[in-house]
Amino acid sequence: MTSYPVTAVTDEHTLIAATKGGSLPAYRRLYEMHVAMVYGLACRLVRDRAAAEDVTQEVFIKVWKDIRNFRGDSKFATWLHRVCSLTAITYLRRQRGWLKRVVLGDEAMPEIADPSLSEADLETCIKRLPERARVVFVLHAIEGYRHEDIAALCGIAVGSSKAHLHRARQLLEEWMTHER
Amino acid sequence: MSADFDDVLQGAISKLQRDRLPQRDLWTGVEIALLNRGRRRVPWLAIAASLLVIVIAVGAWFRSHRADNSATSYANYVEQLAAQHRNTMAALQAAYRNTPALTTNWNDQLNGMERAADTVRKALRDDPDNIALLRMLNDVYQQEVDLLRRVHEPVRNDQII
Repeated sequence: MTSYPVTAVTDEHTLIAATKGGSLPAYRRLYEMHVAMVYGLACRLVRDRAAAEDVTQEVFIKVWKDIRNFRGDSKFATWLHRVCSLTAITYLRRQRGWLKRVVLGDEAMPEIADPSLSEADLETCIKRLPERARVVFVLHAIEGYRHEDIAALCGIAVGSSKAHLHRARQLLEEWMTHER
Repeated sequence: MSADFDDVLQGAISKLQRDRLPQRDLWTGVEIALLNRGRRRVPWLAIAASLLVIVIAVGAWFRSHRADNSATSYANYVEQLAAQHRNTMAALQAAYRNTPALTTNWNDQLNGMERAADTVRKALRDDPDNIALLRMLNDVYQQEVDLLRRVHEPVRNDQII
C-alpha cells in the first residue's frame, strides 16, 4: 500500500485523489471526516446499533472498492450518503427473512442504547415506525431525497413511497400528540 | 394530518442531530477487510460442493416425499439436513480460520439463528409432515451460511454502482 503524507491534509479532493491511487492513510482521513454522517444515517435507517456498525463498515469497504467510479459530478458526501442509504436498505432486505418476523419477531431487534435518544420524542417515534415507513420518512423528510430516488433505491413504486410517507406521518402524529 | 402538526414535525426534524459517532472503533475492521482483499483464497469449490449436497438432498427429499409420507422419513430427512449443515459450517469455519471477522457480535447472531433452528426442529418433531417448517429450517441453515460468509467476505456481497 502506498504511503502518503496525509495527516495534515484536509482538502477533500486531494484525499480522494490519493485514495484513488491506493493510499490507505488518505482513505482513513476521509473516513474520519465522514464516519459520523454515515453512522448517523445508518442508525436511523436500520435502528439497532450493531446493525448500524455493520452497515457503516460495509459502506467504507464498498467505497474503497468503488471510489474510482466517483467522478466528482456531485459532492463526495452526497455520493457517500447514497452509498450508505443503498447499503442500509440492502441490509434491511437481507434481514427481512422469516427469521426475525416469524421466529424471533421484530421485538428481537435490540434498540440503540443511547440515553440521549430516549429523551427525544421524534427520534424515539421514528424508531417505532414500521420498517418501510421509517426508511421512506428518514430519506424524504429528514434527508431530503425525492420520492423518485427513494423508489429507485428501495425498488418500490413512487406511489408506494408516498403512501409509506403518509403512513409514517399519520403514525407520528398519533404518537406525538396522543401519547405525551 | 393537521397543519399545526406539520409545523411541529418540521420543527422537530430541524432539531434532530444528524451526525453521530460510533461508540466503538470501526476503522480497524474496515482496514483489516481492505488489507485482506485479494489475499484470501477461500476454497469456493469446496463450499459450492457442500451447498450442492444440501440442494441435492432437498431435491431428493421433495421427490421421495411424493411417494413416502411416513413420519420416519421426515425425521430422517431432518437429521440428514442437520448433519449436512454441520459439515458445511465446519468447512466454512475451517476456511475462515485465519480470516478475521469484521464484526464482534457475529457469534451472537449465529447463536440466535441456531436457537431459531432448534425451535423449528422441535416444532418438526411434533409436526413432521409440515413442509413449511422444513423450508424454514433450510432457510435458517442458509442464513447461517450467509452470515459466516458475510462477516468474513463482505466485499463479495451486494456490489454497488
